[in-house]
Amino acid sequence: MIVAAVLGAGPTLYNNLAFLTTLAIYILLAQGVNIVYGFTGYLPFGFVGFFGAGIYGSSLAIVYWHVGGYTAIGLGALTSVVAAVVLSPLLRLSGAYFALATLAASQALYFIVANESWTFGESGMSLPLIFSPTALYVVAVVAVTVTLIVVFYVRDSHFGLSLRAIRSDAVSAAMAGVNVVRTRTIAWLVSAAIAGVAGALWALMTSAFYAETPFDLTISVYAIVFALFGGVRTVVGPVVGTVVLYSLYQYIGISNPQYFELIYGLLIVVLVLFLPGGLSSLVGGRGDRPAWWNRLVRHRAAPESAPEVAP
Amino acid sequence: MSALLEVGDVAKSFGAFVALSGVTLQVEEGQSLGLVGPNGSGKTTLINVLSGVYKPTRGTVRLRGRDVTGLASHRLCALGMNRTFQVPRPLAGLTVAENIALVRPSRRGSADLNFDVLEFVGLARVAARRVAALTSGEQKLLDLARALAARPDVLFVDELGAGLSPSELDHVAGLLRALRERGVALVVVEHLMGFLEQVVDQVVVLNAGTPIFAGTLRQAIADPRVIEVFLGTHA
Repeated sequence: MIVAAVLGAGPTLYNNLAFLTTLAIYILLAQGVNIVYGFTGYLPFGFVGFFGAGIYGSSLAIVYWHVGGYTAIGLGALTSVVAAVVLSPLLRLSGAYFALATLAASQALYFIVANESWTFGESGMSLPLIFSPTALYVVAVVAVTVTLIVVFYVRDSHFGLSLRAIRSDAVSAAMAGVNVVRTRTIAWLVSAAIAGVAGALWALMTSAFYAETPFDLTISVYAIVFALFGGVRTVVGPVVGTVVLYSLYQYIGISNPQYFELIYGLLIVVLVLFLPGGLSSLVGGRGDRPAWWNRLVRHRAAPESAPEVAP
Repeated sequence: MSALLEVGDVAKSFGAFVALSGVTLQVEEGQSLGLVGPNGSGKTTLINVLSGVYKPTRGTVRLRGRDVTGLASHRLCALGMNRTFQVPRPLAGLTVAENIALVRPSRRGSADLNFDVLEFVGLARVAARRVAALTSGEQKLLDLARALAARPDVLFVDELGAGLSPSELDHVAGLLRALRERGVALVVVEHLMGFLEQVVDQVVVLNAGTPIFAGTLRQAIADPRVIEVFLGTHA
């Protein structure tokens, strides 16, 4: 609610709607990564593929069927979900294999879209203006709000508990009665749908583009690093991560983006190794915090967590 | 009246390696069966097959006459079969209480297991703690509690005693006897004969993936085939 209110008040604080809408889109992508990586442990380097699917699903619906903006967003989400269903066998892979397979899949999708005439691969996509910048921003804020409610549900429900259990140990989770394949697939489809909505919003905002931009791997990298930086498996973490890092990028990095890509790449490595819970883990319970942080602030350790003396 | 659990001619191969072959055994309602054999004789593989971790290469598994061969673990859990793991596998990212809250009890459940499982195994006082903060003995108890929360009629107990202190062993043996009294059928894999003696009525001895003996533990210890397997003929 707070996040929605802040986003709603955004334009009065800072009057750059294109920036704010892009921020909302990145929040959506970071939350999509949050659900699939944070809760299931699958790192989708090709997550941008769902974003691109959402962009082209909505755009082609607008161009060929002349659908309205909301229908286009729905169809964008649907396109991503269909792509996720097709790619769901990839969930059989684990770790780096999964990350690379999704990467390959997203690039395969890019090559199809960039080379077919019915996707305007040569000429580029060009859409009519459907939403005014203000209206689009309102829609984006609504989308972010709905997504945050979904993430709240995923975090606190039995479904979310099942996902965390699977992430911890799939065999043991199955013995606790969790349908591993179904639960994991649902999370995968939900995160794809969120990326699809983000893609549709981007298409409606940008309205003229070539296939390079929607499938740019930098988008995957950013979404992952924003989510990791703020803290996955939390609701607020990916939002904070996106706001901080995307603002930084906007004001420092946009003139020389190559350094930012390098820095964000390194940041992923550092975060995964030293701060897997992101910024949020530093303010959460002691058990969430990395060991080096606990050592650093040991004098403040609660007596409750003192080691037990064996009888 | 068929047995609660019927294992018929089950075999499991990994490539050319035959881990199990011709395993036939029955577990009656509320019975406690020991599964013994040297290391590598297929005890854990059998439990993995019966709990849905592996699909058998051949053979059938029936629960209350219903064919459950090759069903996934979560289905077996819902039908009333559960297990503990030799190396306990509690869900490390979760608290003790969450490990239990995760479990949806099976619908059948003729055994009397309607109680607080953490209270039962003696972990209620650490319910809020993360699994990583538990001792290995406590993790084994949590693994048992997680299995019991599913209210199984058949419970496979894979070397629960290994690595426990004598007092912890007594505690666990007491728990297993209490479960048997409440009508849970147990299949207990164990190397510790003293422990087994307190818990089981009958044993099946496995060697190289095949049962070579079925009877009481006392008979097993005196049986020349069993002695040969454990000690060798020229010992």
